[in-house]
Amino acid sequence: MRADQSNTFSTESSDSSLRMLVVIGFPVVLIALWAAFLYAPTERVEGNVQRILYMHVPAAMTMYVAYGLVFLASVMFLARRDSRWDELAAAAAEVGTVFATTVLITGPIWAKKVWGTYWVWDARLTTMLLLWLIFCAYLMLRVYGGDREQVARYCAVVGIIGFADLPIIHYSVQWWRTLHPEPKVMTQGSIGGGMEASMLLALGLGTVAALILFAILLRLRLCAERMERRLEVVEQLAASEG
Amino acid sequence: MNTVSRIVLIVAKDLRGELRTKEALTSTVFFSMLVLLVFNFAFDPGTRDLSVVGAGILWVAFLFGSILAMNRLMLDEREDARLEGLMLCPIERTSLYLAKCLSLFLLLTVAETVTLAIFVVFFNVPINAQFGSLTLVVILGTIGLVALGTTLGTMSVRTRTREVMLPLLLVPFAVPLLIACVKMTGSVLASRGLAEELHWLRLLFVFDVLFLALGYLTFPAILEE
Repeated sequence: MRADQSNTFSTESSDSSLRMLVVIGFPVVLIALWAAFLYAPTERVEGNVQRILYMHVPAAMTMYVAYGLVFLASVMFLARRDSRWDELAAAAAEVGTVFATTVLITGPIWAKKVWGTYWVWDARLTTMLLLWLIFCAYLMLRVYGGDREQVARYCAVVGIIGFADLPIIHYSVQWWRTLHPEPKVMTQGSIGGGMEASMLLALGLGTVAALILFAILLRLRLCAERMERRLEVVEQLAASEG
Repeated sequence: MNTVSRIVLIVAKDLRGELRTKEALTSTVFFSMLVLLVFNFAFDPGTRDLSVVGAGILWVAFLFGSILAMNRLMLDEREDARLEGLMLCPIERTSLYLAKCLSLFLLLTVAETVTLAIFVVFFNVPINAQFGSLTLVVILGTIGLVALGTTLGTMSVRTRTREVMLPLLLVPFAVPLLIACVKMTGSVLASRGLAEELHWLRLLFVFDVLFLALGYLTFPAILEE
């Protein structure tokens, strides 16, 4: 039954859409790198280290997209009980955590140069860290959760309450203390008002590149997940036939 | 028999079991006491402003103690397939969630009252006029822990790692609750009252309502077999 279901995702169609993503993605990533390192001007105060922004912020945005996807897939799984939604949640959580880790690594490097310290318990850093911890626990639950069907249900619940916790975490750590610079790209008055146009362009390119990279990784991870599940079915069949 | 009396029946069953062994209660109180002891040596709070350090120490003792109690209560249900028995009862799964929450809440409030008394004695906490509002903070904080703990605890004892999974899941989720409770408890210990901390009270209230609602809605999915 499950094997039939996964056959509907024929490998040919996923191969061709993956190929297209790579064909578009590769030049975009190169252009984004060029924009970040060569095109965008050096920041007056912070110097070259500010170029981390073109990786740090796109990774953060992509992470929110990924975790948002986990939330949606989790809701859909509990509503429809279709294992394909669980596959999507599993893949998005894992790839999202890669981007979250990128944010947590690039952040302190940048902060050390600019704020003089690797880590501060500021609102956005703390929110990021907690979100990362929640999804690390989520991934552990995937590994240790028990049988497939149970893991799928449990992870859907954690995916939903994890996302619902986000605004509360955000406000609590913001009221607790804050040091992070005010949002520059999207202020109340205008979008992109606080930044040089060329910097904004580099940031936009970086974001597009990160999102395409995310789509490619998600696709690959989904393929691996499906193959793993099909293999399980085959193994079970082989075991039952002795 | 209506839903309320069914919930009362299950809670009475849980409490009867607990009163016979007193396993969860004694281990939780004793563990919370040990946390207070460890923090006494780690921070030497006698030399610091208690309203700053004390509130944190108290809530860490509550949080760690509650994890122990949750695991005890949930693991008990695994023995002799007791949870499966409960699932066979003619009661909605959502009411089962409320019953489990209520049992855990009663257990934790007793444990926390004892821990609070030990805290007052150990750290020479001057009891001021604001202590009444501390009750509100402890109750709201406990409701939040219970709402989350019942959901996450029921799941984690059924994973391969059993009780190891609960703190890994619970602690990051509970951070907003911890911040709010520590801030408000600190205010009470400094005899300032909660008037300046109303935003924390509101946040805690939202936290409780949100996780009770999510727990209530998702519990049937956790208990499926």
